[in-house]
Amino acid sequence: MRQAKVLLCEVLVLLILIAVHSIAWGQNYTVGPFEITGFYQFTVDTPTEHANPNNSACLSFIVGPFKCSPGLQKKGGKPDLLLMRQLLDLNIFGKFNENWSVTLEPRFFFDMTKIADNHFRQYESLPDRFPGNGWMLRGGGNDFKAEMWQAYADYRSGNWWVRAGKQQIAWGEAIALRVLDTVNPLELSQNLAFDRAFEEFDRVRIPQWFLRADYTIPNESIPDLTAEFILNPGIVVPTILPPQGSPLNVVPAFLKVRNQVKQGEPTVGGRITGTVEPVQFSLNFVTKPNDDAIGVFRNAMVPPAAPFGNCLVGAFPGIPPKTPCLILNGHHPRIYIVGGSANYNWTWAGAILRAETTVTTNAPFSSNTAGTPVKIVDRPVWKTVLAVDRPTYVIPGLDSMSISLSFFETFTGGKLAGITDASGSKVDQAVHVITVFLKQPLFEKRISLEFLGYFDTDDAHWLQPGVHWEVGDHVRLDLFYNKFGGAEKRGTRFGSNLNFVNGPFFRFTYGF
Amino acid sequence: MKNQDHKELNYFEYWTRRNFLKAAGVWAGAGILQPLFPLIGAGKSIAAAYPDEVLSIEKYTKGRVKPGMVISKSNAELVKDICTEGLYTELTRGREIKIDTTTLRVEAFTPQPWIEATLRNKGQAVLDNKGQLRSKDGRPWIGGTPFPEAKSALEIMWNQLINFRRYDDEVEPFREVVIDGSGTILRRVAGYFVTIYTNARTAVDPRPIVPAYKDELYRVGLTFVEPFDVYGLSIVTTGFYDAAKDIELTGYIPNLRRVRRLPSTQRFEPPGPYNVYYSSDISLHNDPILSWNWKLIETKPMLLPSPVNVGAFAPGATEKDFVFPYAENQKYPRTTWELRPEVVVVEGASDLPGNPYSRKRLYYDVITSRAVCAETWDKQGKLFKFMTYFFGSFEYAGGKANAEAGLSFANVQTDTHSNIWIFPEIGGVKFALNVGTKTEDWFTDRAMISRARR
Repeated sequence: MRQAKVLLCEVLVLLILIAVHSIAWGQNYTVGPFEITGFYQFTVDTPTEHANPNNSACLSFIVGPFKCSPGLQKKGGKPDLLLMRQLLDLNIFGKFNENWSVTLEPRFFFDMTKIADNHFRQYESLPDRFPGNGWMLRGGGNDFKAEMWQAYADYRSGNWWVRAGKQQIAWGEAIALRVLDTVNPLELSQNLAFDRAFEEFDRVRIPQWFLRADYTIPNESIPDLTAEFILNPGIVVPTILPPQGSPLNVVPAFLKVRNQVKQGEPTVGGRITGTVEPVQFSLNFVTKPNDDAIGVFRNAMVPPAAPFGNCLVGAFPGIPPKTPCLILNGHHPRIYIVGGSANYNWTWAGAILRAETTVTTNAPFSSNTAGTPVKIVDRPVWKTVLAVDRPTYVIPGLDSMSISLSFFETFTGGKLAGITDASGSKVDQAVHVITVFLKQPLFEKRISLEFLGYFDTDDAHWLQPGVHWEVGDHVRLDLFYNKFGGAEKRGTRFGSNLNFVNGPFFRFTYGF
Repeated sequence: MKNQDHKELNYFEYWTRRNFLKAAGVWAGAGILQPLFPLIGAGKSIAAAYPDEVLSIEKYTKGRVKPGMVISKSNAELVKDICTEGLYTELTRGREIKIDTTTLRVEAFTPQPWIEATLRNKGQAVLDNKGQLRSKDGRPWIGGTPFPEAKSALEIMWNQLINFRRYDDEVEPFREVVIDGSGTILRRVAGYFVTIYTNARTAVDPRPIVPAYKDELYRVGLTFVEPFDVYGLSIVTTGFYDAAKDIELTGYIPNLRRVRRLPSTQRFEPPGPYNVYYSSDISLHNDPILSWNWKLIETKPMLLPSPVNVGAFAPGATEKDFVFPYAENQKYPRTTWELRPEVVVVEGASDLPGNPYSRKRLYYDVITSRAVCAETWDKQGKLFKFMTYFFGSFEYAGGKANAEAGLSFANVQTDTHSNIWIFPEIGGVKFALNVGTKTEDWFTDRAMISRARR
């Protein structure tokens, strides 16, 4: 039955591809003023190490934490898949005249992980279980989801530009490091943020309902001096984590977090950008509800407790009611962020230098008593990135290699004793990360070898080597490998706590 | 009126003597029988400036080649000594070209405001001791060809690059097909590029300079709509008036959802997969003028593209027509060429990092003050690329154009081609010339994000 479902899916995909191919060979598909492009993508991500320990992390008041197999999985042991998914992503752009245009991006997901791998129970792929989720424009069942990812209108006239609707707003110079790029929360439920690094957060930065208005200020000195204002009137979306029981679950099985998302809390911000040769700069401000849920203890459910002995009895029959469950309320207090960025074209060296910094004056943390988060406190957090991009001829006879290096520091001020972050981990005063991104084109840029290295000086690393192959106009093939390791195991650090993600992933993409 | 003595002269003997004069540093510039530009200024044809032998390919080849003839593999030898090496190589491989009569009026290639500015400002241009172009009063150049009677390779290059297309602003939708030696299509690209010149403007106010961008020479924005994974990618190149200053690049990267300053050192690499041309090859030469060393090689009549090659603007054209028709399956779209009477071969070399070329030659038509063909050689001295721009006269929605209708880049070693056609409209963006395009509307960070298609 499972195999039949998989086969049916493949036939459906093939029919779609044939239909699209016949329509759109070589030219975009147009309907009136609307231009339709997009892609179909099939992804397979397989683990090489072990099962996700979060799914088997139980808690006993007698022995403390222990591994309860199969835990939230249906069958114990390392699963075969982290993700098997089909995705259809459309981009519909309509240009009505020089002033008006509209962009729509519907997406259709078919998560086949549970169908193809019997290690897993039913969980909801791409969940959106929080109050006010209707504005996400997402619907479907456990495996199939459709959503209107982006939907906005642009108006341009003279020095004005206004964009209104469900949109991504990406600020800052740093790539793959969330310093200024924190306006939108992240959708981490499918592959966390560990897809092809070159794509950064494009597929996971959750578009929100914003009004974005830019005005270029006429002046004598800085021709491109522009003021930007952004406003989300209070349609709040939190960070969306993988559901518990899913391959990429990051919340231990004995924990239940009840997300307290308060709708009506606006996001307001703005920035000034411009060029004072030879430097481009921005000055930024934003205030918003914190994306990540900060946990505060609500209650513990110890066996036997009616109606449930632990968080998941009833939802997952068969889990013995002998493991207590801790329930936390996940709060999203308002934060205030100020910062700025700059870049400099260092022509002598053939490089671009970049800098970015933010101060979150009141970043929220949990204050713990006897190991239990009991209240939220805030601390100032200062983040800084220094980066350099420098294409370099490394291998004679080949195109230059794109090389990006960055140094990232996070400094948390104030007293840190007894406080934990959103993942429940102890907070260090200073965290230092060095990243390197390399991209070497081969065969006239038809193939590129890519490598991301993310090194935390407290002994944590994420490595992602891979190859991207462009076959003609329509087909793209990707083969990448994620490797997490190091002695560091805390939740928000990319160390061996994530080594259950280790493994290759393959993507077939057909674009039109 | 022609000088009777020159009509009796053995033409080839005359050219040899002209080459000697050039090498001795007393080359007088345009025209042989009389100065060229007074004829242009009077609205006359250039016929009076040249002997018949170089105005008629039939006379020049002693009757072996005639207008209307098709040159192909079987008779390519007939034009070998008036072809570039690249064109001849392609003819022997199967390219077919049609021969036309020599176009005698410069208006067929060049818009009127540019011609008028050239005549009005003739004699006002100087090169300072660093090779930078100035007007005699020290200000930036005020419009038109600076050196209509160029006396040096550097003057020729300023003529070439002060404004390659001769319009103050352009919007040019395009389609590109990359096709390999076996005729297999490797890649299709579509998009549009928008150009603004902020110095040496001749037709659109403010003239001759846009004060807010007085240190720049141009900005070109290239936006892709095909294939799917570059849809919405937009790259803006800023060239500076200072001919020693490197270009700057910014890009709207759809994956990043933001505009990003990019390094500009990857000039000797294809901008995308399979592309035959490098960033440096665009407009035949896209590097700062003073980053290369230039010298004159020779002057001679040569075959260059005729202004009838108007590509997608040729009404009713089919693949069989010799107008550079939109023919994506053809490695060598059919084109028409004519004998140009006075072509200066300019050669450049550079030590820029990553430069794979031992030299580059541009074939500069003295009458149009512009080269539309160029070739490069690799470090082993073998012919590498053959590049051609097709300028012509055609009608479009906004009126009459004397503009670029297509371009072709050939990797002669692999026989792979990037053929690019300019179209009336693609993706809702229409072909337009001198419409008052503003930097703030297209080329700033705000403009790029606001126009993003993804």
